[in-house]
Amino acid sequence: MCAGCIFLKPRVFVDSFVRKCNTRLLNIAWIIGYRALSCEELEVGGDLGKSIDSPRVLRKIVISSNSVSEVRNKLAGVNYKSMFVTVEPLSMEVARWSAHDTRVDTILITSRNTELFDKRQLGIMKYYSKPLEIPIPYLLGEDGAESALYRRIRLYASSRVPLVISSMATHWHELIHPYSLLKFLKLSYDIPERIGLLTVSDIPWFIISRKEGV
Amino acid sequence: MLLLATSMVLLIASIILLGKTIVYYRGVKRLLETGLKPIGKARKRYVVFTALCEERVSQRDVENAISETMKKHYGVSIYRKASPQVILYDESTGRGVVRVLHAYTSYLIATLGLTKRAGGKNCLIAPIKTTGTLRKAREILSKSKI
Repeated sequence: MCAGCIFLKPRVFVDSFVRKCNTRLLNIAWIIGYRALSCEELEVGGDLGKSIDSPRVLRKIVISSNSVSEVRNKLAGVNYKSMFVTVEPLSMEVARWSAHDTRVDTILITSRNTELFDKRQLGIMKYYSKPLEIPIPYLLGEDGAESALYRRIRLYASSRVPLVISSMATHWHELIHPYSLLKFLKLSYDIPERIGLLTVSDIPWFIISRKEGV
Repeated sequence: MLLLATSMVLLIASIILLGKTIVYYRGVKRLLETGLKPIGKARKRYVVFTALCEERVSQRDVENAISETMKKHYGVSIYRKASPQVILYDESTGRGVVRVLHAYTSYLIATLGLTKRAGGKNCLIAPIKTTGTLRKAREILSKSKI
């Protein structure tokens, strides 16, 4: 099979974490190839994401906490069947607990919690097939600690823990073309294009397609 | 008769000398060869892209932005070897073509995606297609809908 043939198959590219969605951002996302977005804030209402040439939009909630009871309380008030739920654990208990809770879709890794993702966490996440979400600003080294992230990404990718790459974009120009992203992952983090492709297409699409209203 | 004999001797001596010279030359040549493959001709690739910017930006701005981003993420040595050049750019549509050394096409495509500002304006650059000839790049440029 040729090296470039993976791109011949039509893919649904998904950005699983956009901070603010507006009409301009949705148009640009559609132009560069994204077919589904998960937005934390929606600046336009109505039939957003329902037109033919606009990506499908799902609401996203990110819960950052260092206490399991706080996460539980927040999840109790969330319609997790129609929202993309991400937990940013700030303590070991929350990291372990969120890895096996079925309401949590992904676990977010940032510069604040990198050290929590050890081998034991890897084992739990692999057992429950819980995806690890990595924001692009962190990959680009805007938060620092890139080498720690590199080691963890290599460890998790080699252990076949599902990875999800998200842009965390607030403005339209912070989006990144999926093809450029694959090349970046390959060059900077040694993630093969075949695995990189799954992180922006099949894995987040599998999560989004389970939700109601998509 | 004597002249003929002398010329024959000289001819034979020159033939022997030529043979010796060839053997010596081959020996010297073998010593000089290092066993390395010769450096091949630098092949180029043409990457068609579209720059989605909030305002119009010039060709120089786009080229500077790409160069700066490549230097920032991959270093000056990769930039020197890749030597990306914006050879075609239409300011009204934002579409253009970048020429790059064939071995560094991946670096350029990654760089295009990472470029967020050009000429002080917010920009998003999306690669469309990579070709081996400028003629084909021009065709894609004219047909592209993005």
